[in-house]
Amino acid sequence: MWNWLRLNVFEPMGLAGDPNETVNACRLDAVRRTLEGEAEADEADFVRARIQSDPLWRQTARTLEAMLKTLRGLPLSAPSNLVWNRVGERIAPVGAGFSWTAWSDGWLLWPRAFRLAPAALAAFTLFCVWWAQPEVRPTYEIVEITDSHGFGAEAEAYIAYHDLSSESTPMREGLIAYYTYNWSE
Amino acid sequence: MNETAKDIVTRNSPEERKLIEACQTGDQTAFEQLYRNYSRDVFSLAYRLTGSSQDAEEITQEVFVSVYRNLGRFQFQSAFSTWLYRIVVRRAADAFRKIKKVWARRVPLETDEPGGPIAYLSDDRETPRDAMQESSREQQIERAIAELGEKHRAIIILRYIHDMSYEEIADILECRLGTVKSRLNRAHRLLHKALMDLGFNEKEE
Repeated sequence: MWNWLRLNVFEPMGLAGDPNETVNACRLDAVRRTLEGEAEADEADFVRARIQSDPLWRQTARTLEAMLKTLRGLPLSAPSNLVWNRVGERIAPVGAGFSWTAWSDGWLLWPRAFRLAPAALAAFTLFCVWWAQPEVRPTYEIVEITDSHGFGAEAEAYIAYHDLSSESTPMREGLIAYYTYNWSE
Repeated sequence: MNETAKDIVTRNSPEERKLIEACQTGDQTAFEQLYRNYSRDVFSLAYRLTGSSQDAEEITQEVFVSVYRNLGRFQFQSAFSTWLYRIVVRRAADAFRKIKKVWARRVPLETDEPGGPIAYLSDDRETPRDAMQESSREQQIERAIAELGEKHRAIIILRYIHDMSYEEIADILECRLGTVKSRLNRAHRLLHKALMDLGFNEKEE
């Protein structure tokens, strides 16, 4: 019923915004659905009757039929042999083992990444909590150096915030002595 | 009509499954056979989506390398061709965006030249003026398809040239069934109009 109303009451109706358009969108849709066997029985009967009686509908049906036939018969072409050679070169060393996935293939890995996201977030939170504990901050060699050299609180404060572990022993002791002396001043 | 990969899958589904399973174990001979079965479909789809044989060959190459690397994750929950075509459409969309960027740099944005980037940047097409003189119906159809927008073109090609169902197209383009149907209607109107402009003749020559 709706199709009948649409085809009879609202016809002619061209493409949106162009009332002079020769292509009638509703007629085209109805004829295509009928030709492709998608139309319901009443619509198909109506369209067939119009095709019989109306030259415009007949013309539309002929054009669409030819268009669909040509479309379905368009040939498929093969790529050149170079393509397989290049594919072969790229997959040859990969084998069945692990291989790096190109960033452009990343969309295939997204579901896995989303599943792993909560675990990664939890691990990061645990690390932050652990790092926030004062006792895990590096204190370097406070006890050993202060005890052996007697520089006291200044040396302890300096060493607590400077990593001298990579320095040679004379350099390390010299630096401690220099800064401790300066701070004492 | 050409035998498409879909026909092969439909007719020889168990063999196709065996072939894919062999590929999943790393069997390169099986993969070469898979390439032979599908390379025409992949190349033709990519060619019609991008309008350039050079881009289509590049996409074909990238698609099969990607398939080889990711085939282990294919679980047979959808048709292999659907999975494969989804990769092709994504790659072609990337290529199309690159072409559009090049096109945007070459001409003012307000250009109203028909055909857009595809008709001019492709390496093996003629100018629209020449296209108007093409008499073959196949050439006219190809020209009219090239003048469609990216989404409408994909639907027409998948539906009629690769013989996909509405459900498969929705799966490939990752959109709803209703969207596919409405886009197809719109694509038909645009294609019909383009063909009329090109002087499409329904009579056999």
